[in-house]
Amino acid sequence: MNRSIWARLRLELRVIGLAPPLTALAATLGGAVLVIAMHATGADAEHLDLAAGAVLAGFAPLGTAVAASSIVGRDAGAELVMTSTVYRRVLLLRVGLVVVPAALVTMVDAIVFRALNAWPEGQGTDGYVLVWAPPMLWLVALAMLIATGLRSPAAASGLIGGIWLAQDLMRTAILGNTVLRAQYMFMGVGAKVSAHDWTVNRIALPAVAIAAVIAVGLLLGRPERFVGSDAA
Amino acid sequence: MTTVLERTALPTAAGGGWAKTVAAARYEYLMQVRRPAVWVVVLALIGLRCAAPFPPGFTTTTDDGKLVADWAFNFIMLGPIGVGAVLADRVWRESRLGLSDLLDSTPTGIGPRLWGKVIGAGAATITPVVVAWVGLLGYLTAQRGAGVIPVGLAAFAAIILPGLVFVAACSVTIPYLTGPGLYRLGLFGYWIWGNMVPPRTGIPTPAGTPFEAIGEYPSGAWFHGVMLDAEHRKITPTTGEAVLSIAFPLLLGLAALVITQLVLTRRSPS
Repeated sequence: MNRSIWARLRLELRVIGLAPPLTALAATLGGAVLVIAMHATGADAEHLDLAAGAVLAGFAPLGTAVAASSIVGRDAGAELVMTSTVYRRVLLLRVGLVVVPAALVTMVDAIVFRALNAWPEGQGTDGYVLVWAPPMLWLVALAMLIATGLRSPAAASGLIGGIWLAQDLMRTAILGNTVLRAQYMFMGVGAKVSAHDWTVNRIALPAVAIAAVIAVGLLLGRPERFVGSDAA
Repeated sequence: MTTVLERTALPTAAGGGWAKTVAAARYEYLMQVRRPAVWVVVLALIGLRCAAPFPPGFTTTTDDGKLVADWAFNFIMLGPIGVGAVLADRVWRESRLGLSDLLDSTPTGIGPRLWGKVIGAGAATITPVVVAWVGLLGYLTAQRGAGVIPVGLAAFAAIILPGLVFVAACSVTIPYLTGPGLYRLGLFGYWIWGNMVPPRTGIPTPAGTPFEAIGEYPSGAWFHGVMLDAEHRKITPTTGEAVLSIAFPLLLGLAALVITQLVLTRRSPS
């Protein structure tokens, strides 16, 4: 990677500040500390497996999504950015600065959890990625769509937090519905489903994420919406 | 904004602390209640939970107390997450817009501004919950008669309101320390850990004790409503425990406000 790219990344990091990447990392690292503490204190295997799954498929995606949505509308001089470059590209680069480190740390979490034998029931080696990556993509993309659509990180984090918790609270109702089952993000946390449902779910989550990212790109095609207004 | 200022009596150096607090609360209320995000988020989360209400089948009960308590439990499960999320950016708004120095130079003072923000913005954010609850009571009254109204108002005050006030107080104070993003994540984590993690997981949690904020104890003690974690702990709540369960989150919220006011006053250059 050449020096100009590094300089650009440093610049964008200074614009968004350290809070969003640290918020994303706090969720995945905090979860890892919890699982390691449970392992060290001799928690039983069932609860350890559940906690590992909850961190990978639940807390890491939630923290990353909340952090990613918080970068929308942070430009004090958004007009200047928009006159010199494509705003869509700038915003997606900033999202990358939040999501990529969180994804890498979550991957390390998965490797450590497997080594500690704290591993979601029924998951094999492909779980290193498939347990957490599809839910993370899904939740981040939805959070960005809400944040750009409503021009409000507050609305995005509130709705994403609610959807996340509702998926856990309404698990039975969601798993009983074919369409909702394909969008259930906690399927890697010990949900007893068929191989077919698992495959459909792991394909459907990123597919919806891609559709949401395209919608975000279209919304960012009119970046003047983000100029000169207080957060909604 | 011009309209807001025109409608609000400007606090002066001669005005008392209460008058200043009322003035601050009024403009904070008007600013917050006009944000689309407040209505969209709070109503969406209540609607999401009530789309598949818990526990299954409770709507057929003949006990009005149980009926409204279980609806209240559905409101309180997700509602505070939305309330906290849209309140968390209020303390950063003034510095983000470059208004902090200007506001500091007015005779209003830190205390009335902080309390005005909590009362005004908090009340505005709870307004969609009140509107939804009134709508629900109207529907239930049409079905079962006016006897539902007093029970419904009591259930709102005992089950829903304490948790919302607690979350509102924390959401206007803790983000001074953490920033809104990290606070929101912490709020989600607290709400699950402190109110919904079953005791059988072995993780130490206040869920199912009088020190939770989800209103199980008043629901069970006074309305025969649904209980989750308290039932797992094999507890039949008494009136004293229900009162403690209401008082504890309110006192915690009050403590957060008083500590924040002391810290901000000490930091203030004047």
